[in-house]
Amino acid sequence: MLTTRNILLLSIFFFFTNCGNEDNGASVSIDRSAMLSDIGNYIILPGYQSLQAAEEELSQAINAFTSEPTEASLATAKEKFKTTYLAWQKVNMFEFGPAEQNLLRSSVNIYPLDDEAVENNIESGSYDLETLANNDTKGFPAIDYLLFSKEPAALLEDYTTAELAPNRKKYLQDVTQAIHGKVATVTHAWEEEGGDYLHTFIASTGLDAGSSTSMMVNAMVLQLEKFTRNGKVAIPLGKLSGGVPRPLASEAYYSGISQVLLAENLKAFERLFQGIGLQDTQNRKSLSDYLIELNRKDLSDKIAGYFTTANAEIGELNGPIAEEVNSNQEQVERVYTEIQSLVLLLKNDLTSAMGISISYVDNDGD
Amino acid sequence: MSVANPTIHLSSWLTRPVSIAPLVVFRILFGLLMLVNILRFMAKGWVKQLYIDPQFYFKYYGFEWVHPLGGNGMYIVFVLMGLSALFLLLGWYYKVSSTCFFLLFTYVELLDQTNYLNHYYFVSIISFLLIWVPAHRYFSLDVWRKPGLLRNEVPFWTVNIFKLQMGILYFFAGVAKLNPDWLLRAMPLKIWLPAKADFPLIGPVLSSQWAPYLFCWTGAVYDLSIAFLLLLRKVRPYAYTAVVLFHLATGLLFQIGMFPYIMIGITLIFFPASFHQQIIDFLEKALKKILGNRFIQIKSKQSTVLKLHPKIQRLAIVFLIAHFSLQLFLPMRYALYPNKLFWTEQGFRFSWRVMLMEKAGYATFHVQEVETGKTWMVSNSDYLTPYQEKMMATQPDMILQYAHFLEDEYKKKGLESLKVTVECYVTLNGKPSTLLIDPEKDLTKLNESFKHKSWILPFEE
Repeated sequence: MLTTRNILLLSIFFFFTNCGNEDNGASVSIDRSAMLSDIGNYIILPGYQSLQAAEEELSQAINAFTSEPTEASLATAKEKFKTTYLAWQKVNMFEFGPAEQNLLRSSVNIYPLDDEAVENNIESGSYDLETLANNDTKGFPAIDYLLFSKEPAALLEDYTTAELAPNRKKYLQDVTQAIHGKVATVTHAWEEEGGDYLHTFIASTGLDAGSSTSMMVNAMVLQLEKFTRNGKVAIPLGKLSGGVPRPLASEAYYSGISQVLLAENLKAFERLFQGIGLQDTQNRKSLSDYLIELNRKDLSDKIAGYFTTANAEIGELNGPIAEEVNSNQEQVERVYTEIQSLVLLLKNDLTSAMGISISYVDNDGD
Repeated sequence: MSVANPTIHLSSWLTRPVSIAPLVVFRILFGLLMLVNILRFMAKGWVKQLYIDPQFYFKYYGFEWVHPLGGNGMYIVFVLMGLSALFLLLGWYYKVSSTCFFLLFTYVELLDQTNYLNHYYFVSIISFLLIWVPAHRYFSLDVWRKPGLLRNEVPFWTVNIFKLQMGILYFFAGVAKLNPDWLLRAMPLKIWLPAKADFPLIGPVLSSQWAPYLFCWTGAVYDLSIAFLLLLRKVRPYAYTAVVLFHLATGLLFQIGMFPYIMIGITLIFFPASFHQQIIDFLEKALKKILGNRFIQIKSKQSTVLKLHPKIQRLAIVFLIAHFSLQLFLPMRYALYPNKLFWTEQGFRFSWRVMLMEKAGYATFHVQEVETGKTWMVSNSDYLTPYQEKMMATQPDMILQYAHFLEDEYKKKGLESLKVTVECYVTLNGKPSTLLIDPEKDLTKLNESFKHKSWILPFEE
């Protein structure tokens, strides 16, 4: 038919006229399965495994501390807590699949902590940490409070001579145990000998809603926007409270390591973007390579650049965010701006370039 | 001579009797497809997600008074809509059911601009046109109820307005594709096709360099020519094959729900009456087999022509001319606005512009108390569903509406004299994100209108 021939001729014409143009004729070769395999095998699974390993050491240290509260056992528990909290920062952007099903994030890291409710729980001795009402009385923020809210000497009294000492010890153990349960469940679900979600993750190579790439990028953007930018920076900075800083709302308020956690978290985002495995420095296939395969090296470079500046600005913080929002506000503001730019680049430009829809709804379009 | 009075000539051409069969099959197919569409919508849980869960709804300009029903009200609306579609299919109390279907469907569409889709708009129009045509006067339960209604010939226009409406859809969808992004850069298919690289068999083809160009050009040629080709008797079978293949391909590749099947179904109206009569005869036989003797004649072999009162006929024609003039105007109205259409979206809706752009936006709102200078950054997820947030962030009229909503919300918190600004970045067809709206502009001072929105920043090529 005439039209068919026309179409063919036109497309052939355009095919040839376009070759050697802007894209240098390089055909797009996209292998999402290789990317998912690298991310799953070298970033996500080792991430959970190292979190679990750290958490197990934390559990042991907490047990040692509760059975014999001394300055030394307290110091060990504190140290293990920090290691575990840092390990968590490397996997908090993977809240899809097993983590999502097990409500991992809301089980282990909802802050600010409701310390009054914690004290009430300790006093009454009856509580169910699994309930929604107890979301802000458990997880890392609870341990942060239970181990760091007082000077060691005073704190040790709470665990030894105080009337509620047995209750407090039990609460600390229960909270630790709850984290342990969640982390173990999720890690096991990813492992080959467990639920082998890793396999499912790699096999789902599409880009529609519900596919691995789409879920991962959506989860990544959600964590960066809502929990990293807002939770760690914007909320303490007072961005959502009319410019009045809320230091108490910062992460790890009592241990004062919020700036370290933020730095670790952002580096984890960067490693995920660049495809740098957890246990090695080798560059694996990841989102940056994907952009390059799509002939969008410009965007890949731009995002990489913003990661560098954001990391640098975070490095300029002199202390915990809770203090910096009052004493060094401008610097926190700069950190916020850099992360905001990253949110924009990932949520808009990256997803748009990849053809992923940022929508948690499976909707029709036209 | 007809030259002396062309109106009479036109009028007698439009009203000459033609077979009712295509109209009847059209009614049956449309009712069936709508029924499936509504059941699917409900089964996916979208009634709750789109019309019960949101706290805020984006209104259409002029339809701010349309609100969702509380409680189980929206489910009732959908059940009634499903029943109307079923009645439409059966031709049972047709006038009532077609009117109900149109009103209920359009009511739901007017609830939230977020959910605007060209094919929903198309369904509204088709169901509206169905109210005015006698699609129930043959092979229907109405005829079984009242045999006096039976007619097998109807005025020419009652069948052909649907072809015209579909022709307009296709043609303007094609015209909309005649832009440099689509033709020269193969955008947005250059983004969307490689995303399907893992598609069975044709995946590698889709991720090839030339596939987006082939698809873009094929799509444009198809849209521009298909309605005309369907009118030509000799090419019609090939053209319809193209319709089926084209819609199946888009249906497989993109998330566009029922639309391809609706189009494949109702495009059959372009086929001659004899073809539709065969379908009806086949259905009749099947029904007789199932129902046996209880089946009563709901069609007739005798020629019975439906003649409308001349006054009604004239009124109908005037009305149709008005409707189709509007249909020609709406897709072209964008030309009345300055700047790039894809960027400002002034005159974008109701114009059959489908799958034309990959656009994503990110809007951060700031509410400032003017006296104290205190500023709040708004967490959009507190008020909007993720889908609403996504749709809002690329469409200036929705951004404005949301800004007014935020003003009201913050006033409820006891704040006075507020300024609302937005930092909204948009990426269009793979171009780097840039500001869509003047970030200094106090949106509370602006009101929605058909006038050009001067606060939209120009698109940087």
